[in-house]
Amino acid sequence: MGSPNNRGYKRSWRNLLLNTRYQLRFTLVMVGLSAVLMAVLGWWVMRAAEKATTVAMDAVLGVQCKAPERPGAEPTVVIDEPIVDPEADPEADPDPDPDPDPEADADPDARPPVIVNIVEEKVPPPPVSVNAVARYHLCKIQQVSTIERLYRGEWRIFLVLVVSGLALCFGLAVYGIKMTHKVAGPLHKVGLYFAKMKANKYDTVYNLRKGDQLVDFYAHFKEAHEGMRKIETEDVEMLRDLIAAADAAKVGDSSPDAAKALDELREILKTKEDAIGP
Amino acid sequence: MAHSKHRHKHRRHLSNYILDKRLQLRYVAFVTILSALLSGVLGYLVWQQENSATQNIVNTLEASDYDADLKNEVVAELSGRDSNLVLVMLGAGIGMVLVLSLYLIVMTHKVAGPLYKVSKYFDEMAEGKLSEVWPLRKGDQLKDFYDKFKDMHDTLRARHVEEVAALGSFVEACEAAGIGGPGEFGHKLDEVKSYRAKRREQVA
Repeated sequence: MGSPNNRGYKRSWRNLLLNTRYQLRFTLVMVGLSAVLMAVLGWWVMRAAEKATTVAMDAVLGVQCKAPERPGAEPTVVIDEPIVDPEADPEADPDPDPDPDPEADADPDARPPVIVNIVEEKVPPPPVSVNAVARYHLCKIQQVSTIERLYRGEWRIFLVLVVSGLALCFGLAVYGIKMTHKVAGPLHKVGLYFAKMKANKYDTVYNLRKGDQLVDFYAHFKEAHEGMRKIETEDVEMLRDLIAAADAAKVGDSSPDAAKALDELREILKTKEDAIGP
Repeated sequence: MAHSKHRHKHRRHLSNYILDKRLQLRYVAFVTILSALLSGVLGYLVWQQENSATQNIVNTLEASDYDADLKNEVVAELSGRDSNLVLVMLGAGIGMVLVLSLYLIVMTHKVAGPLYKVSKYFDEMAEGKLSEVWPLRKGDQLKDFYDKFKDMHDTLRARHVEEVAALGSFVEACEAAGIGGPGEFGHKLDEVKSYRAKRREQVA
């Protein structure tokens, strides 16, 4: 800061956009391109993740958890001993068949009809194995947790995708503006010197700020500025000598045209002296 | 356009796309690292999900009573798919980095191009020369800056031409009036003539 060729300009967020067209164009196109690329990559990534999740879920759901068996839980049929109807005629046909079998009627060894007393009762099931129940529920819990883990994984990919896409765009936008500012800064400074040179002012050229880009370019500009200033200085010396010699030779008195041209040279000399300063 | 006839036909060439290595490669390096990092994280996550799916299938297969050869074949197929996914992710990441890097090289070239051109004029100015400034190529950036430079350069050039003309008028007026000759002032006029000739060359 203290150096005579180094003025202490500090960066401020207010003048980050020095060359709006260049900076915004560069940055927005870069951000737009990145956003498109991230969207395409994200779409492909999500498709792959969804496919992987579906496949994994199918594999998980394809495994049947073995339910604990409960043997004897169905109704048990108990056949009581046969009871003969005391009122029944052992000779009478208990089943009045409309189309009796003549051969059966003729069988002398036929047994007497019986009444079967069927008693249906529920037998309490035997106790189920605790291990089997635990295994069953553990299997179900594992299935559910695996599915949940897969969903969480897919969701995490989506979140990372969105966050990284936004981070990429934001990062590139900030970086783009900052980097283009480091280019636009020196250009802005050189532009101000251009305006001075155009107005015939050859002031001292100060150094760039720390961190600015285009250091080589700026060095070229300083040499150009110095070259032009040198020419102006040479012109001043030459004109001073010429005017002094012309005044000594009384050129203005000899010819009105020469006097007019000499006045013009005096004007030029004054302009040039102002341009390079004391 | 009157001057388009004289316009230099500079064309973009692949070999001179990197005009300002420090400026251009700095951008490219940053974007390459950022893109590679993001692609790497995303790729790892997708691979993890795919690998988890594969592991589930392998576990199911191992619990089943399929033929061992069939099991091996399926496992080999699945691990092949996983490797394929890694390759595709790698390709996508490299593709993204390449596209962004190419864009940056082209864009920074469009900035570095005009700067390179202006630097050449600066070199001439450093030697006191003020030759004619030609327009930028189509598609170049920094048009505003270049216009400012051209405006300044044209003004300086016109001023120098006027000054050379003023010197010429003085010399001619002196010669017409018979002033000069072998004396001290005559010697000074000879010096002015050679100085004028040198300045004329500089704005040629």
